[in-house]
Amino acid sequence: MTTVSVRALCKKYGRSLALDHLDLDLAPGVTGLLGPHGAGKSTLLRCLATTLAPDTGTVRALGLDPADSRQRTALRRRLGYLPQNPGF
Amino acid sequence: MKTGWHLANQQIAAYVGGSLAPSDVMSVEAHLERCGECRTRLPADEQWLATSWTGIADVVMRPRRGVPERIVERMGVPGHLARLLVATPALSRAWLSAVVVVLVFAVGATRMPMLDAYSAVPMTLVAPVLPLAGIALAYGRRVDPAHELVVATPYAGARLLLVRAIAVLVTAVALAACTMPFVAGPPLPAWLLPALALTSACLALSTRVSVLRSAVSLAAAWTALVAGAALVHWQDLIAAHPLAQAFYGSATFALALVTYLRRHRLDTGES
Repeated sequence: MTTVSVRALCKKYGRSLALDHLDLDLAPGVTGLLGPHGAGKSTLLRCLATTLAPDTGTVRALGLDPADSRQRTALRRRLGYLPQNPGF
Repeated sequence: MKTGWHLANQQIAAYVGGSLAPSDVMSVEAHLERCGECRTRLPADEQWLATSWTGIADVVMRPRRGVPERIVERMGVPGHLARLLVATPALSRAWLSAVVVVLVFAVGATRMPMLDAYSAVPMTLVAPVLPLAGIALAYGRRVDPAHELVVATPYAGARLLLVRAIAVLVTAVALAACTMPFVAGPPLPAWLLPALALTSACLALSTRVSVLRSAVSLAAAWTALVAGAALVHWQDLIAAHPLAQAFYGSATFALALVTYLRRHRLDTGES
C-alpha cells in the first residue's frame, strides 16, 4: 500500500534546481528524510504539504492530487504540517 | 526519596475509602509525596488517570484567548473563525494604530484653511486606500509570519483571504466613518463606494497576481487619479459626483462577481 506517490517532480527557485525529476513512493508508517543542506528536503515536504506547487511532475498523497483545488482541500483536512519556522 | 517507615494497610484502605480525619489525610499525603513504595500500594484506576491527565493537559496547553478573540466570538463568530480573524496580521495593534494616525492626519488636512478648496481630497484619497493596505498585509508569505502554517490548513486560499479581507474592510471603513463628525460633507461619505470598488478590484486582480502586488498597484493608481483630478480641480468628479458613485457601485458588484467566479485561482497551492 502506498500513501504518498511522487512522479518526476521538479521545482526550481530561479536558476537553482531544488528537485530534479524525483520519483518516490512511501508506505504507511514513519519515514525519515535525510540529506545535506540544499538537497531539497524542505521543498519536497512543502510540495507534500500542499504549501508549494511543483513546476512539473505529480504528487499524490492519500490518493489525492494537490494540483486539484477540491482534492487539495480534502487533503488539507487530513494532514498535519508543522513547518521548520512556524512563525509563532 | 526513602523514608524510615511506611503506611499500614489499614491507613491506606481508610485513605482510599475517604474515612480518614482531615488531619490524618494531610499526614498521609505528606508521606505519599516522599514515599514511592507507599504510592505503588495505592490502588489506581489507570483509565481514569489517563483521562484525567489528558483533560488537565488539554486545559494547561490550550492557548489563552485574547480580548479581541473573545469580543469577536461574542459577536456570534464561531471559535475557529474568530482565531483566524484575530491572527490576521493587518488587524494587529500596530496596524490599527497606523490607520488611526493616518485618519487623524487626513481629518487635520481637511480643516487646514490653505487647503480649503481641496477639503474633500484627503479623505477621498486616504479612506479607500486603507482597506487596500490592510488586505495587502492580511494574507501572503511576505506579510504573514505564520503563512506557511496557515496555507496548509483547509481554510487557506480563497476562503481565508475573503474572510480576512472583509474583516479588514469592515474595520477600516468603521474607523474612517468615525471621522465623519469632524469632516464637512454629505451624510453618506463619498469615499465609501470607491473603497468597496477598490477592495473588489484588489480581490479580482489577486486571481492573476499576488495580493500584495494587486493592492499596491491599485493604491498607486487611485492616488495618482485623485491627485491628478485635484490638480485640474475635478476632485468632486472623482468620488462625489452621482455618475462616479454609480460607476463605483456597478464596479463593486461586477468585480465581486469576477472574484467569485475565479475564486479557485486565489489558492494555487503556492506559498
